[in-house]
Amino acid sequence: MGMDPGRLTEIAQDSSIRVPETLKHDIGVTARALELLEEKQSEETARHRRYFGLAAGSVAAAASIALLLASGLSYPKDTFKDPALAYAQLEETFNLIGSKMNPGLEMAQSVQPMLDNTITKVLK
Amino acid sequence: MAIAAVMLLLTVGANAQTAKEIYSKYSDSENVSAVYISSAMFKLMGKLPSMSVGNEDVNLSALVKSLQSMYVIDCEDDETIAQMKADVKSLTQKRKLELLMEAKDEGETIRIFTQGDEDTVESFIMTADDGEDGYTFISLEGTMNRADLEKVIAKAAKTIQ
Repeated sequence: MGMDPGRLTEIAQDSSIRVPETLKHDIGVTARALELLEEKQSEETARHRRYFGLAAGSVAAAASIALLLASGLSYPKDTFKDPALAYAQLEETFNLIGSKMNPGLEMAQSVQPMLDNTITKVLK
Repeated sequence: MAIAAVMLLLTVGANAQTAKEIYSKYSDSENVSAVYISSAMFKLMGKLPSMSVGNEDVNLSALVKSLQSMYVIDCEDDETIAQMKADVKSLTQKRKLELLMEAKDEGETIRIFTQGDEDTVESFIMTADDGEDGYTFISLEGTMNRADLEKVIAKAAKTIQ
């Protein structure tokens, strides 16, 4: 009927207006029913919002876990298809490691006599 | 919802924690050259002819059979180098790799890290930071006999001057 429940309550409580007792009772009941309906609708809206939030959160969590697992299980692709080429690269890598270590090893070798002398003196 | 958002952020923004992750993160970047050899490829190498490391013939078949992966990354971009250095630092700290050697020579810093025990090397990492000329990351993983590995590297170091 589109009438504000508050207004209906006012009319029901207005003693200057003489209305049949049954009508007064019916207006009061209708006003209360409208209030209850509004409360129920609010509860349902809140419940729907909670369920949607939970669903969205679950999907996001599952996607994160899937992403984590995928990154851990996948392996890169071999650079070479030919084992001979891979072998050549391995050789080049060991040569590179050796060349880089050379200065450090030479330095260590050059101080070795000094270190030996120092240890000998300390132990005497 | 908030927990899921945090998990997603951790996935995307996490530092690379393994050599594989570092390779995956940087191998396709600009100004980066990268090499990966898998366990399957090492097995395919099979019975190898003598491999010349330096100027001497060395039979590396035993070492090759014990290798599971090799990653090599060479980078020349300053910004990428900075990120990669941070990831390598994180890797060596998280996995508690032992710093075996650090040498500085003519502006280049070489660091070698290993993980394993007296007889076996499970992880060998070398980084070469040459400032403007670039940054190199080498990782070897497997169950390498320590003595064999040291012999090969020592021969390579002696004969390359």
